[in-house]
Order: sequence, then C-alpha cells, then structure tokens
Amino acid sequence: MKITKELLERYALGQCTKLEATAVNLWLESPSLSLDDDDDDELEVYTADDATEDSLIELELWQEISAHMQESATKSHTAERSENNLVFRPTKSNDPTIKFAALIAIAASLMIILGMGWWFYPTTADKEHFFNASNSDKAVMLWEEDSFEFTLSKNSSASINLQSGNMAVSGDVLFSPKKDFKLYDKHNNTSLDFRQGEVYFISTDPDTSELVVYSKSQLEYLPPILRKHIRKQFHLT
Amino acid sequence: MRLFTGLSPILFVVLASSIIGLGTSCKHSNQQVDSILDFEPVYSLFVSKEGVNNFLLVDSTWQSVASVRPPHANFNREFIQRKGFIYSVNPENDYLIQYKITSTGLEAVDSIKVVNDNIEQYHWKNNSDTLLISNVVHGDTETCRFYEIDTKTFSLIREAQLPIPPAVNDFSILSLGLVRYENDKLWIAFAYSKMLGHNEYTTLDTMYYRTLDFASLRVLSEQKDPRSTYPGGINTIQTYSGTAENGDFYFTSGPGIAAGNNIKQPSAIFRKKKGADQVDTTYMVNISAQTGNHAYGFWYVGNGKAIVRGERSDKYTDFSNHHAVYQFEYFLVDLASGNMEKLDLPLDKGTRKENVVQVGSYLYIAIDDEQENHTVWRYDLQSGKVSAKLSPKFPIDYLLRLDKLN
Repeated sequence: MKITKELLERYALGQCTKLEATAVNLWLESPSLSLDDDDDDELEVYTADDATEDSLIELELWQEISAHMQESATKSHTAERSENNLVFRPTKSNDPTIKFAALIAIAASLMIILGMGWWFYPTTADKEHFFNASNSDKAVMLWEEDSFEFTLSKNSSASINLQSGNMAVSGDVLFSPKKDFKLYDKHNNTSLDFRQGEVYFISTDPDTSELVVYSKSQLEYLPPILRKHIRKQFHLT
Repeated sequence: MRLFTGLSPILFVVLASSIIGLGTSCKHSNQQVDSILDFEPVYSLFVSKEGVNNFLLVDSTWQSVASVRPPHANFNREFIQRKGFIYSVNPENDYLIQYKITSTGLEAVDSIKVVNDNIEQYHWKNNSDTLLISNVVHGDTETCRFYEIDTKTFSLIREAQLPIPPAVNDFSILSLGLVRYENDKLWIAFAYSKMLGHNEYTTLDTMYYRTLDFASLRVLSEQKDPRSTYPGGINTIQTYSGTAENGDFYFTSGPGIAAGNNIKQPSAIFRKKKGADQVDTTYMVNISAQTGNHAYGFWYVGNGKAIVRGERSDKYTDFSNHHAVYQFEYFLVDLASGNMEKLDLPLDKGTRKENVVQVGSYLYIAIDDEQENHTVWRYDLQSGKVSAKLSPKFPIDYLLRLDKLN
C-alpha cells in the first residue's frame, strides 16, 4: 500500500480502514519514513523556493513553534516516563508517531494562531492609529513617537486619531512632527497643516474649545508676555 | 491642433499674468539681489520668508542689493546694530555675540554669557561705546539682571541685579519697557501682567518708573503713573522712545492687544524733561483718542516731530492674526501740539517692526503691502511727498527691519 499524505491525514483523523491503519503503523515503525508520492518526498512541504513572503513568515513561525513543541513534548514525555519507571527514551524525534502527532498539533496551533491574528488584526491596527498622552504631575514631559514628538506641560493631554486625523489637546503642548501632517480640529472641522521639522505650540481656546496653533517661527509675532509665558512653560529659555 | 486649442486658454492666462506681473514689477522697479557683496553697504534690511531670515544689504543710492545669510539658523531680528557691529544673543547657548559686518557676512568677534535668549532692553550710555543691557530673569519670582559692557574691548564692566519689585499682588509677570542713563542715574519704566487663561493675559493699569543711582543702583525715587500702562517695549524689536534736540525724552505706552492688553487705557505719548527724575504729568498726547485705535512704535524724526505706527482694530480678529493682516498706518505727530497727520502709505503688516530710518529730511519706511509688494518708501518731511524707493526681487513675507549702518 502506498503511504501518501492523504492517507496520513486520514490516519490522523481516524478515517482509515483497518488495513490502511496497519499499513501506516508498519510504515511509522520503519526506519526510513519516505512517502511514496513523488511530489512530496518529505513531510516538510514548505520550501523557500515557492514560498511567498507570507508563507516565509509562516515557515519561520512553523519552525519556531515546531522547535518549541518538540522541546516541551520531550520534557513532558521524559517526566511522564520517569514517573512511571519506564525505559527512558532520549528524544521524541526518534519516535515517528510522536513526531507526526506533534506536526499535526503544530499545524493546528498555527492555524489557530493565524486565525486569531486575523481576528484581532483590526483591533491592533486601531491601537496603532491612536496616540494618547497625558501629563498630570511633571513640569514638562516628552513623548516620542516614530513620526512626531509631543512635549506636554503640567496638567496637559494630547491625542491624535491617525486614521481620521482628529486631534484633541487640553492644557498646553508642543508638537514636533517628523513628517508633514494634515490633522483636523474635530470641534470646528478645520484642517491643520503641520510641517516636518517645525515646532508648534498648541492649546485649546477656553471660550470656543477650538485648537489654537502657533508655529515656533510665529511665536516671535505674539505679544511678548504670551511668548514669555510659552517659553517659561516649556523651559525654552 | 486639438492639444493647442486645449492649451490656449492656459497659455493666455500665463501670458496675461506675465504681462500683469511685468507691469507690476516695472511699477515697483524690483531690484535684482546679488549674492556677492561688492559695494559698501549703507542700509540693511532684515527679511523673513516662512521663518527663514536673511539680510539684504543696500548701497547709499538704493541701487545695489546683496543678500547675506545670517550667521546661524536661529539668528533672529532681535539684534543691536551700531558702528559696523551687530550684537545678538544666540538662543542655543545664551551668549551675547559681537559680530563684525564684513563683505562675506557677519563674522563673530567675541561673546559674553547673559541670562535668557533675548535682550529686553538695551541702551548706549551717553551715546558712548558702553552698552547697558537689562533682562528679566524668568522664574516664579521674576528678577531683573543688568549688564554694563564696554563694546570697544567687548568686556563686562559690571553685572548686577536691579532693585525692581518682582510683582504687584498677583501680577507677577514683569516687563521692562524703557531703560535710560542720564546724569549718573538710571531711569527704568516697567509694568506688571498676569495670565488669565492659556492664551489670555492682562497688564496692571499703571506705569511704574524708578530712578536709581547708577554707581550703587540704589533706588532714588519711584513714580506710579496711572494714565496708561505697558510703557515702551522690547527695543531690540521696535523703537518706542526718542530724545529731542533739547534733551527732552519722549516715549509711548502700549496697552493694546499686541502688548499690554489692557485695551481700555489709551496708547499715548509721554515726556520726561531733560534732567528731571520724574515723568512730566502735565504732558500727554492721547493717540487712541485721535485715531480710535492703539499704536506700537515711536521714532523721533527731529524738529519736534515723531512717527507713530498705529493698528486698525477693524482689520484683525485677535492676536492670532494680528501680525498677518494689512492694518498698520503711519502718522507724523507734532509733539508740541499733539496733532497727528496720517502718511499716504499702503497699509502695512507685522505687529512689531524696526522699519523707520531717517536721513536728513527723508524718512525711509519698509512696508509689506496688500499687493504682496515689499517696498522701502521714501517720505519727504519737507514736501510731504511719498515715493517707492526699493522693492528687492527676493522671497519675502516680512521686511522685519530697516537699519542705517553707521
């Protein structure tokens, strides 16, 4: 009887006939575990040649999980057998049945993990698209992200929804974009253009709740008292 | 052919705008700006475009213009210029640096460490080479630091604390508006402000003056003047005072939104007579009463006349666009009668500017007008005639300064 992948799968699922099961058992006990199908000479069906980027990642995951599973399986087997005073069997890899079962388990785990990854992906992405920072007790606090920096004075907070572009600020903050941004004041739906390399002082108008934005180069046009107040808050002098 | 037909309206627009552009440029005779300085500079413009600053040096005939880059990216308009030298604080390290104006640009000569990254008040003692600098030291309790510098050797003669009270009640933001030396005395005008919110503040409704003994800095007298508030202003950014031929000293107050922000009080001109320790309480030119607006900036131009730069409250919404709207008018004030005459110049933008220079009976005024022209205008004090003198062909948002290099 030819031992094929399909047969092994049916064996794992308990769908084999008695005859087929005996053949598989015999095959599993044989020293060379070669499949009779020409296309799949080995059980390691993933090859780098035909793998896309995704499947490469999967392959890496597979190998990692596989290594981990084998390690833990070895440990558990060792412990179990010691307890039962049975003959110690050094590694599981010499046991084809266990190896196969482990591979099936790995495949199932991988499917579950990938499935979970897909399921949770939108939530994770949302988190990445939402920035939130607050400072309640320090004189000044710096928040550094890949594409921008926030300096928050005491009792201030800043948040940006990078997907919708909405920005909200309470207190006084300094915003230093590392790339050009177009953000929105959701209160009056006005767009705010922030330029890479410029520093912006942002606060909320207490009367209108609208964002008040000054670039550092505009600070010199402000009344001297206000400019001094801003400089003092952020220790710019 | 179809392509040509499709493009023709665009071509027409391009051609038309070129012709209009040519017409405009001819009218204002835009001067070419060279990158090499091969003439003796007599005037200097300090210009800003999207936060990038440049010097434009001009010859005595206003015919040749050369651009010179400032010594560093943080170099701003808050500098002192005198006798071929420029003095400016580097905000990176708070050093006051002395630069020599050379054909290749500003060459750093020497430096002195000061408090703060700007200069609040400077004054040339007796019009000599001794530079007096006064700064407020920022902090919860504000103090006042004084420097006396010999600019010939660029050495510090004295550094001291000035006896100025840090606050009046909860008005704890101190502004030094004027500092002046006369007869071995130092006279200082100041005001107190407080924050009302994140972006709101106001100034206490009194101008404070103190006269100190110059050597000991002991307080000799104090005067409270409730006629206005926020006397003078940061004089590296704009001039707010001047001395007449007879030695009388004139200055303005700035209670408007862009300075003291106590707008019920008037912008006005005050006088301290020669040799007097006290401000003359019998003299006041109420600018606001005549124009219905506040004013910032005062340049004494001789023969009892001064230029005042007034805002137009109907043009701006608040201080967020105060600098960007075209609103500033120039008035020639007769200091004896108090009469104000509006000059026939385009509305200017920029809340504060150091842009008035006098040469004989001519005044040169640098204006950024609504048509996006950045022009130095000449006003003839004798005939009252106005003419455009120079419009540099250079990227400019603001002509922040016009200096006569001397």
